[in-house]
Amino acid sequence: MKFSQASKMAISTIRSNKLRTFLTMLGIIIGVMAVTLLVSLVEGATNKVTDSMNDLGGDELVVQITSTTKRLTLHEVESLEGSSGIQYVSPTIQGSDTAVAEGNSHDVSVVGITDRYGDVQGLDILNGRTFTQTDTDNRLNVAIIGYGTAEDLYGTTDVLEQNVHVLGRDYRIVGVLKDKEDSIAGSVNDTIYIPLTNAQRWLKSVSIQSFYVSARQDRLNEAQSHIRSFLMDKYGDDDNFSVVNMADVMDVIDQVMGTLELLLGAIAGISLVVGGIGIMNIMLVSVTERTREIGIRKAIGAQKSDIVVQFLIESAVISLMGGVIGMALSQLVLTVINLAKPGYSFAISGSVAAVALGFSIFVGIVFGIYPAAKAASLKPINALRYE
Amino acid sequence: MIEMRGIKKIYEVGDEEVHALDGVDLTIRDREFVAIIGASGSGKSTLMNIMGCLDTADEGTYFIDGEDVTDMSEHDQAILRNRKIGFIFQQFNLLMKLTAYENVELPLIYQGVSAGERRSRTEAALGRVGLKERMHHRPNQLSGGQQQRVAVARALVTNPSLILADEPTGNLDSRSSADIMKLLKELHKSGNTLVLITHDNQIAAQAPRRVQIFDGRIVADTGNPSIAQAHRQELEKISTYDYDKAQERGAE
Repeated sequence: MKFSQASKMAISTIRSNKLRTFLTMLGIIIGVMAVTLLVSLVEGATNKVTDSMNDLGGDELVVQITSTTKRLTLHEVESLEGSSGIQYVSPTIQGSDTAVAEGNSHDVSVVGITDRYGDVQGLDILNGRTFTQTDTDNRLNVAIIGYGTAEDLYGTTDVLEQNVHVLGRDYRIVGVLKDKEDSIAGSVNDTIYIPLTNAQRWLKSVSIQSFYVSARQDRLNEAQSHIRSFLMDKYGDDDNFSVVNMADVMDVIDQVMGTLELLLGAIAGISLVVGGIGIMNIMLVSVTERTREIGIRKAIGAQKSDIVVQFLIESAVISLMGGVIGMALSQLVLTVINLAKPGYSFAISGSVAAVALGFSIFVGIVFGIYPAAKAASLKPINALRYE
Repeated sequence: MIEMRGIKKIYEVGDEEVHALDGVDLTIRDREFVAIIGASGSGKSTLMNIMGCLDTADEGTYFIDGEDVTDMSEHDQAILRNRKIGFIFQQFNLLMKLTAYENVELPLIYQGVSAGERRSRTEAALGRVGLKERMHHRPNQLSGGQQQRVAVARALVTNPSLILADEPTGNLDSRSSADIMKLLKELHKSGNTLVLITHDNQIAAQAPRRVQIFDGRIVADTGNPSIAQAHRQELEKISTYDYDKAQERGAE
């Protein structure tokens, strides 16, 4: 008998037993759904975290000074630039205040930065410009404000050359940033940037609290050890500062996420196996129930292999269909999540799809073989007499 | 041509051995119409199962068209059933999920016949049993007599050397019975070899040759009168045995 004929027979059986087929598929549907959903969610979350980390800078050092006794001057920080693989150094001083303009007020964090900030951390300018050396050198009262702050204060982002009142004085707005959602780095929308030298005076904080360091190509580790030894010389104790290598952090996050993905995938895989056993149960029952049919088929000349192939195709098709339906359902769930939570983009990756589908067919065939072989090896007369 | 020599079949029921067939010799030539008569438990169904390769004998030899079936592999037996034997069962044994057409087509599918030829042969077979108009009905939409005619069509669609009918009228009313018997006689006339197994003397009487089976042995064969004679002589040796009574019991 040809394979196409066997497939036709199997499919007509599947179609004439819709409820039984559906119940059999349910296990596989849930299994495949669990696997694809969990793995895709973890993957999506990993991507989200990685993206946020990249916003902070993937190949940078973050230096925090916790000492309150010894000052770190701007001059000292800037003198690090250029040596031992250090490309740029971008120091910051942070504070917070309420910004006022046109009778509206908005709580903001005020960050003092240098013209290096754009090179290291990155500033996405919507209107206007970033700071220049002149702004820093002359401690000018100029500001770059976040999108949300501009909208809240003025109701528009077209606010260049307007004055915003913060830290007790007026700042001339020279730039507006693009709209950006919140990230680990904090809310850019609710920030006002001013020149670092200006911030030192009006935030009343001369010492540099933190700075970012970007390294030259492949010299991040060198830069890191240079900065560590510089700070050790100055503070004598690494309780007073921290130097974090963002690449290391990323590695750790990747590892954690990878382990999580594997773990959840394995748990979901168990449900696939359970689904496969469900298929075997139904196929076994179906064989018993259809013993007479098998007897009739054998009496009119079906070979053992014809019966095996028919039952095998039946279970393989059922599990493949279950796999496809499970995948479609998890795609649906992911789409709903994506719509409900903007900014996330969960999707089923090709490899997850391939593994889930391949595994469901495998399960169907493996768990279909035993009942199929059992069915086929019956003596025709015994099968015919079966009641 | 069917040739059986010394066929024995023994079942173990508990500790006891039951000789369902106890040395059957039977030759059926091509184009013959033979009725095998016997009471239930006489061994006639076992004989039919072995004849149809649904079961195997424990002893003896069996040839179909000169081919030795005795030690044939399962695979070759399936081919043999498919090509040389057509079955008509008391229970019809149609597949309930398939239409009449699909039921009749099935043996041709297992034979690997091309789709076009399958179509013409299936329709021709259904035409012969007068069910062409109802061929897309399922068994449960047909009467008992019609279902049995579908089974007849399925048996003859492969053009087999031997058509085996096991109590074909057992589940039918007298009118449908008459229809089926008429159909079977027509098949015989058109050249098919036909073996009819029955417990009903009236049905058996319609066959030109009648073979009576009793306690797993052939006790009478109108095609071979010497058997009955031999049997009678054998029985006369055992004085306690009343041959006529046995005959009566066999005919019940």
